[in-house]
Amino acid sequence: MRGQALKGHLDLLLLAILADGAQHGYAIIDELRKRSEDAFDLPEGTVYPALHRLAKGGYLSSEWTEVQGRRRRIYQLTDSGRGALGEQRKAWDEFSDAVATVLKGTPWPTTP
Amino acid sequence: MAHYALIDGYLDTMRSEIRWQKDLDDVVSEMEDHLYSTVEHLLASGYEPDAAQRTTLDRFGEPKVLAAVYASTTTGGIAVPTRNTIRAGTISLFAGGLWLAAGLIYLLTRAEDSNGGDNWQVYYAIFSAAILTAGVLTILAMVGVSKRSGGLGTLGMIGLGVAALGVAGSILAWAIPLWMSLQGAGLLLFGIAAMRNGTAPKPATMLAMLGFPVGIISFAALNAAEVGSVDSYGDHPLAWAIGAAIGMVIVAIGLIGWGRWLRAEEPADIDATAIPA
Repeated sequence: MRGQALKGHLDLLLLAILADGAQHGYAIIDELRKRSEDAFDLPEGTVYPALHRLAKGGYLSSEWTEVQGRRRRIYQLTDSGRGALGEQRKAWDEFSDAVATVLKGTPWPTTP
Repeated sequence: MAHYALIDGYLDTMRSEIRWQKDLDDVVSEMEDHLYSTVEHLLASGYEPDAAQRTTLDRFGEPKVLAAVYASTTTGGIAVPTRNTIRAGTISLFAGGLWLAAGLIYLLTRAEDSNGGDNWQVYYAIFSAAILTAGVLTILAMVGVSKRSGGLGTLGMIGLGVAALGVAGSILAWAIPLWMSLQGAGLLLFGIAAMRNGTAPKPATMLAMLGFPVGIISFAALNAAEVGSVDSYGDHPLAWAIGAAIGMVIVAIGLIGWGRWLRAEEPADIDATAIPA
């Protein structure tokens, strides 16, 4: 799936992954790839500005640790982020249900 | 810790591409952790070191693309230093200097007038020209701060508009409460937008946004305390002069802070069309 399809949904996906617990960027991106079965094709580096934006918005908190001599930033969902995830998940469910209903369609009327 | 030349070279390039980024060291450290983690994972999967590094960098993205993503704001703007924002920094320094001079000249004007000196009208004319010029330069500095922040939204634009009205009002130099209130309100709204955006330095923004309101409160308080002699209107000109000068000095320090910040950066070479969806 192209990055275009991700537009507007990346924040929701990142919040959803972090709902399972605190993780660092590499693990978040790895989890995104696994859960989507490699469906999302976007440069991995573009996920970090999205994480920073969510942290700046108060949806994520972060702290630094050191692993194998490297500094590692761990992200965690805040209460505000949990609330935003709930709202965005509900909106997505409504949207996808509506699209599915339309796509299911109704059969063409037969002409007598 | 093992080092990988291709990854380290890439990190040097990224550091240069996003040199204007706040918390640059943290951003690059985070990239380093990601890239090294990926290389180590690929090596463990059987990749050769060179192939592991190239695959890692392919997956991570082109430096120019990432720089554009880091520069982009949620409102679709691009928050990077440009030659124009650097020029706005110089203008902001001039504006700060003029506000300092205007505050001093206004005190001199009032002192000369109180002492019955002959030169107060000359001082007053200089003061009038100084505040009008400083006001215009302040608006240009605000535009520079807004551009550098990637746009400050509706609140920022309203602030800019109200401040511009205040500058127009300063043609009536004697109506200090009018033009200072308008410019103060404009800078306050603009400052709130800038604080929310978070790109501009907070101390300078706080001073620029609160200077005129503090000045107005000061001259109201000093006037109420009946500081100095009373004029034919029942006001205390010295109280006005001190209060107004306080406001101008605080705004001046804020503008100098903005100017130093804007001028300290190098223009970025960002291709906004590189931003992926």
